[in-house]
Amino acid sequence: MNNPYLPIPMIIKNITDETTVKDIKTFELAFLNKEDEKNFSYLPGQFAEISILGSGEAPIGIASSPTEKEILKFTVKWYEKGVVTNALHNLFVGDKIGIRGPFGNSFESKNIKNKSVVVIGGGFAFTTLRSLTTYMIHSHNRNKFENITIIYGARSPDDLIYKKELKEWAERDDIKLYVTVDKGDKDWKGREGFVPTVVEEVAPSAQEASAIICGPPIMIKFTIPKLVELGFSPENILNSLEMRMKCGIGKCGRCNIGNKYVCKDGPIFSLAELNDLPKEY
Amino acid sequence: MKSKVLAKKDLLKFINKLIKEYDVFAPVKKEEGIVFSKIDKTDDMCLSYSNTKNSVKEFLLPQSEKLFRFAKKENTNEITDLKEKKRRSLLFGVRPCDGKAIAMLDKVFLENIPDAYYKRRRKNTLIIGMACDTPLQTCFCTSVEGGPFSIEGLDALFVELKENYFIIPVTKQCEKLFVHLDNASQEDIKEAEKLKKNAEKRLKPVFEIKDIKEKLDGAFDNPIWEEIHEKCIKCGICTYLCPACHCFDIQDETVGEEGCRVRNWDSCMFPKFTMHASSHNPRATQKERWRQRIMHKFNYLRENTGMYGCVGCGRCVEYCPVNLDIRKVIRDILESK
Repeated sequence: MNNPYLPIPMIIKNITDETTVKDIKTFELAFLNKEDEKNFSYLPGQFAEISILGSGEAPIGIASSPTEKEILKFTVKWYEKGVVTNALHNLFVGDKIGIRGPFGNSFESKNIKNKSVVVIGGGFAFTTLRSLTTYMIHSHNRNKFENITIIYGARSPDDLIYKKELKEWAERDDIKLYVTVDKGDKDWKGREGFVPTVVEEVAPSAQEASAIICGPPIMIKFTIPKLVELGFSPENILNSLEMRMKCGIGKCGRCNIGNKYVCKDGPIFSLAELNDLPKEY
Repeated sequence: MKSKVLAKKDLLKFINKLIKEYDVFAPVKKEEGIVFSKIDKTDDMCLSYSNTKNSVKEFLLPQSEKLFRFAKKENTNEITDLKEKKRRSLLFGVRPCDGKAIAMLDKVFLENIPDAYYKRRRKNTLIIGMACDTPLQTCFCTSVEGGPFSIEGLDALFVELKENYFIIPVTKQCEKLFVHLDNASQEDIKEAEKLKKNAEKRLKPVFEIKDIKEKLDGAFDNPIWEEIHEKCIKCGICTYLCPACHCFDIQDETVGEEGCRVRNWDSCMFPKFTMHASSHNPRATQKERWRQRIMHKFNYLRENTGMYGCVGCGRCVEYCPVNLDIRKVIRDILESK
C-alpha cells in the first residue's frame, strides 16, 4: 500500500551559505533511488516535509525548479527553537535525509500562464519565488508567459539570498529585475528603499497580469494596497501561506484555517480567497 | 440481510466464538470506570454501561502509534515499515454516537489521500454497536443529527430486548457472524421499535443544529469568544475523550542510534499546537483555540465532510474539570447577536 508517511531517501549534494552570518543555507538534495526521482513530479509553489530521523519533520517550500533536473533545493533559515531546522543546519554534504511530498497546490494552479507575471519577494521568503522564476525563464517555458518583472528586497545586501541567480537574471533582457535593500553598504551600487515603494515606482501593468508576493507580513501588508491601486484584481494577487504542519495531507488538523487546509488547499491562495478566510495565519 | 435474534443466554457463547477468531474489544469495568478494552474472556465484559469513559477511536487512531522504525547505522538511515497485524479486531458494544464518529473519521482519513495506518486498521476491524436505551443526562446525540439507535459507521447494531438481542446487520462484512441465527419475528421488530422511540423521547433537543452553521459563518469576530474560554485550563481532556477529535502530532523517539517515528494525539486546546519555529503563533490565546474547536466541529468539518465533528456523546461535558459545557456554548452562540 502506498504510505504517504514514509520519507523518500535523499543525499545532501551541496550546501550553500546564503548570508555571511550563515543563518540561511540552501541544501541541494539528490534522490538515492532513480524510481523515486521519476515519481517526484512537482511545480513551483509546492513544498515538502523534510525528514531528519531522530529530529522529525518540517514543511519547507521547494526552491528548485522542475526544469533543474536531478536535484531538489531547499533554502532553510535557522531558528533557535526549530528542532528540525537546527538539526538540518548541523548536517554536511554526503549526509542522508528524507523528504515527503510534493505537497500543496502550485502558482500555476492559479491561472498565471499566458499572462504577465510580477514576482515580489522579501528577505529569505524568496525560496518558492526562485523556483517560479527559474521555471518561467527556462527556454521551454519562457514563451508561456508575457512580461516577467521581478522585484526583490531585503534589509541589507548581505540579506539578499540567491546572489548568483540575481546576477544571472540581471544580465537577461527578457525579464525586468529590480533589487532593493533597506540600507546599502559601501559596496552597494543598487537601489535603496522598501519594496512597496519600488512597486509603486516601477508600476508594473496590471493588464492581463498576476502579482505573486512572498515576504515578511509587514511587506505584504504595505505592498497589497499598492497593487490594488495599480489595478490588480484580488484574483490576480497571489500569496503563499505558512502554517505549522505535520502530515502534509490534510489530516492532522493544525494548518486548518476556515474550511481550508494550507497543506492541501494551499499554500498558494489568491487575495480573493484570503479575503474569505479568517485572518488566522 | 434480514434482522436476526440472539437469545440473551447465548450471548457469551457467541462472544467466546468471536474471541477465537478476533481480538475482541468491549466495555470492561476497571478502577477508573467502564472503559473499552481488549477482552480475553467473556467474564471481563461489562454490559451494564451507559457509555465507556474512552471512545473507540483509539482502536483506529491510537493515542500513540509507531509509524516506522529507523536505525542510523553508519549513516544508512534505514527505515522499517511496521507490519500489519494478522489477527482481525472486533469492537463489541460500541454506542451509536461513537459509531457515527467513526463514519466522520472515515471521511477524513480514507478520502482524498488515504491515511495508510488508519486504512489498515479500519479494514481489519469489525464494529458492532449496542443501541442506547438509557441515555445519560449529558447525552445529546439527537441534537447533532445522530440517534440512540443510529447505525452510521457500524457493521451491525445490537438492541437489547427482554429475552433476546435484536440484531440489525448493516454491512456485508458482518453477515457471516449471524448466518446461523434465527430471523427476527414481527414481535421482536415491534419491541425494538418501541425501545427506539422511548430512547429518542428521553433525548430532548439541547439546541437547534440547523441554525448553527449559518450563525458560525458570521461569528468569527463575535465578542462572545472573549467569554467562552475564560474558565478553560487548557488540559485538553475534551479533545482526548472526544470520539471525533482527530488532530495529531508526529514526533521522533530515539534511544541511542535507533528510534521510531510516532504519531500522537494532539489538541487544538494546547498553546503549542500552531506555534511556528519562528515563535509566531496564529492562535495565540485560548480565545482563538476555543473558537477553532467550535468552528472546526460545527462549521468547517460540516462544510468539508457533510458531517459535524460532534456526535453528542457528552464526554467533554461530563469530564471537563471546570464544567465547560459545549451544549451551553453552542446555545450561547446561537443566542448571541
